[in-house]
Formats: sequence, C-alpha cells, structure tokens
Amino acid sequence: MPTLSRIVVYQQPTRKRGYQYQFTPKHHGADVGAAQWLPTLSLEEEFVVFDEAVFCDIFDDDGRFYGVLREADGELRDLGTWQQQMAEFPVANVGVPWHGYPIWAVNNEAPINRSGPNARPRKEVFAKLEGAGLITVQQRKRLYKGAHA
Amino acid sequence: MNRLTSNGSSSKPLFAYLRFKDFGVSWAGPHPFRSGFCFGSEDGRVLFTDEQGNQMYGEPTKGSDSGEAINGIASWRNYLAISTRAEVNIVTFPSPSENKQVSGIVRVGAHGIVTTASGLFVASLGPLGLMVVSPQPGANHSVRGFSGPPDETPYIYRVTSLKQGTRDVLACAGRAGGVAAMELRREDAKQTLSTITFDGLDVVDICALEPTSDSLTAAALDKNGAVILFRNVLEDKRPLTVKYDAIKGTAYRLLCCLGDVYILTSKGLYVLAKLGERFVKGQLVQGITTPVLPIPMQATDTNLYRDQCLLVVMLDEVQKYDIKLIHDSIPEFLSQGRSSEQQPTTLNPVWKQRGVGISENATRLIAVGA
Repeated sequence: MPTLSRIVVYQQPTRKRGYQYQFTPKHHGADVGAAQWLPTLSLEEEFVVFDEAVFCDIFDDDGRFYGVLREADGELRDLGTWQQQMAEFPVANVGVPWHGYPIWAVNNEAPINRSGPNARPRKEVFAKLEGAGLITVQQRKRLYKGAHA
Repeated sequence: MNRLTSNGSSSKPLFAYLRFKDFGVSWAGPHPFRSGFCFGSEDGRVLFTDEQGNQMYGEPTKGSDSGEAINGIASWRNYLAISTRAEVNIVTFPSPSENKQVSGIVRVGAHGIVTTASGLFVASLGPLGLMVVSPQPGANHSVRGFSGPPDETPYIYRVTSLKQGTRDVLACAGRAGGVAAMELRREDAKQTLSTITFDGLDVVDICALEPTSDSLTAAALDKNGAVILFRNVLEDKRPLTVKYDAIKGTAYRLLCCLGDVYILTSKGLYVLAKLGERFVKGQLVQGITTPVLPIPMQATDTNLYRDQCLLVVMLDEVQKYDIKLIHDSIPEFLSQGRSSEQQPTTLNPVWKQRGVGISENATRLIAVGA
C-alpha cells in the first residue's frame, strides 16, 4: 500500500460483529517511528487480517484483536516493514472505526503509547491463533518466543 | 532416518530423544558452567542436565521474571544471561567472591543473547538495536543500549560474536537491513555499524564459520534459504551468495561445525557438507558441488553443543544429533542416495552498503535481590 495522507475507511464491515475498519496514515508511511504495514500488502489484505481476527475471536482480556495472514502453503506472510508477522488492533472508541498495525511478539515493537509488561501480545493470544487454525503448533512456538515463523 | 543404514547392520543412531515431564522446551544449548545441557522452557524456567539428559540440581528453576518463553541463554564465569520477548534476566551465581545468588532484570524484550570473547553479554533488540551488558559483582552490571536513526538502522534480529586478536566484532542478522557488523569498542559511546544488503534480502541468522578460531569469516542466512559467505564480515562488500534448490521452507537457523553448514527451516534440517570448510580454504569455486543431506522434521530451534552434537528443539521433545557421525557419514549417505551432490545457484545481487552511527542510550537495570 502506498503512503496514505489521509484516513481511508474500508467500504465493508467485518463479517462478524460488523466492525468498520480504517487505514491510518500513521501506519502507512507518515511516521517512520511507528510500525508500518508492508507497502506490498494491499488494503484488502490488511482488512482480511482484521476480519479473520474478529471472525475467529482472537482477542485478549483488554479486547485487542490479533491477526496473521497465511500463504497458500501455510507459511506466514510478513505484514510489516520490520518483517512483523502479527498485527494488533487496539479497541476503537465508540463510533470510530478500528485500526491496526504490525507487531512483533517482543515488547520493543509496541507503539510508544504502550509500555511495560502489556506491550506485547499476551500468551493466550497465541493459543487462540493456534486453536483457530490460523497458525500451526510450530509457528505458535516460534512466534511465542519472539522469533519469525 | 535415525539410523545410519537402512538394513540395521553396523547402525548407530544419528540422534537420541530428550524428553522432560511438564517442561515445554523453547531453547536448548550447552550447560553454561560444565559438561551437559541447558534448556529453557515456554514458561520461563531453566533446566540443567548431564550429557545423557539426566536432570541436575533438582527441579527446573525460574529463569524469566515474566515467565515468558526463553529464547536465549548465555554465560560468562558465574553469570548467566537469559533473554525472552519481555526482558533480559542476568543471574549472578554464588562464587568465592559472591556469597549469594542475585538477579538483575532489564525490561526490554530481546530476540536472543550471546557472550563475546571478552565477557560481555550482547542482546539483539530489534528496532532498539543492541544491548551490551558488562557483568559485575552483585547486580551492579553495566548495561548499555546502542541504537541509531530508525530509518537507517537495521532491525537487529540476531547477533554473533567474532574475535580477531584483541578485537571483539559483532555480526548481526538485520532482516531487510541485511548484514551488519561492527568492532565493539568497550568504552566508546558511539559506534559504527557497517551494513550491506540488497533488495529483497531478509537475513534471519548469522554464524561464525570458524567459531573456535581468531577469524572474521562468517555466514548469514536469508529467510529463503540462501547462504551469504564472508571472508571478513567487517570488510566484504560483495560476499559470495549461494542458494541450494534442495532447501525448502522458511529458514530459521544457521550453524557451522566441523566445516559443515547446518540450516534449519520450517520443513527440515539441511546439512551442507564441507561448505564452510571449502569456502574458508578458497575451494568453493565454479563447478564444485556440495553434498546436501535433508532431514525432514518440524523443529523450532537448534543450537550446537561443542563439536559433538546439535540440539534440535522439536514440537514435544529435543533431538540430540551426533554431528561427528553425520560429518563422517556423508559419503555413505551419498552412496545410499539419502544425500545428493548439489550445484548451487550463485546470486549476483546489487549490494548496497552504508555506515550507520549508533550511539549509547539509557537502559535501566532493575536489581531484584537474592
């Protein structure tokens, strides 16, 4: 996806829950310090990550959703410019579409407005991804310790 | 595949199983202080065994303060450094000058940690660069973070330590940022990272080709399985880059031992016999083939134990491969058709190089006492 200079709201809501989704300039080239979606990833593919996460109920205790994107052969696609293979979708305010960004499983990849022990996907997220068939056991064990899968 | 020959005669197992009750292994490597092995678990515990896999010192102990999966363990004298995606833990064990065990924690996630020849711990922190810890008695460790401009600095994913004379050299797998290397000058607050990369490269691991020698030869691994070979990782700007078609899957780890190169991918373990040795000796020339032994498996990590074995972390066990036996058996594998001579494709990418200034920034260590 090329750099965005304004917010773009996806035309369709998610299959489940009917959430709206928006693509933000911050994570599409406008802020080099923030996690960036891979330029080769289309907006449709980014939405698929979110839609699948919502469809499979991959959320943590705080309501954040987490998603991945699988290749046809089962390998995980990179989502971010730092080769992140997971994406995080923080809870949106009421009436505001959701948004997301690529995230590593390690806590140094979190956005700067989150810090400390919560700045990484929680353990149960990986089990949910595996349970939903979105990642394999092997991929879960790799991601879980901060490695690529 | 766990036998040298299929008919059972003169067979010697290629590997042995190691299984531990209620201990999901996430990392396996050498015992830090004596012969034997060390294992990290998915819930942040550490287990020590002898070379047969018999548990030592009783039950596993807590290694990660956060209880996260251990992704690296390094040691120096009576210090043990344990990395996870949440923090780096530094344990000081009792010694003649230290009468109690003390732990220190740096709350920054790491992809792994290594020890340099001069006794520093170096952790790879992704976009935050490198963390260099000089262990000190008690928990008074010197902890320094080094990072550079975000749009110039590679994502520091893995690091290996090399040595030349009195120089400590760090070589880093920098994902799309390629291979980065620097001489680590202990007292300097500013260091220079030399990087080389090409479009489409994704370096996921790096290792020394002559790990026990005074040498800056190294090999790096592209996520697609291509191997990048350096005679001098600080100076080579157009390293030899080869790819073997037999290597399938997403590449995870790269190791070199006895002149053979081992690549672990999502599909299996691949032995590139004599690749390292031939490269170092200048014998890897056009027309030379490499015996490639594929061992299909679903593994998540691997590390060397001396020049003796490869500890491969499987989904529910650890397999201990006899690398001397593999090394000596390549001709037999070839005759049996289990391995094949492969001509690699030599890649000629347009390499891009740059020097990146990285400087020291504040990193806080929390001492948590005994």
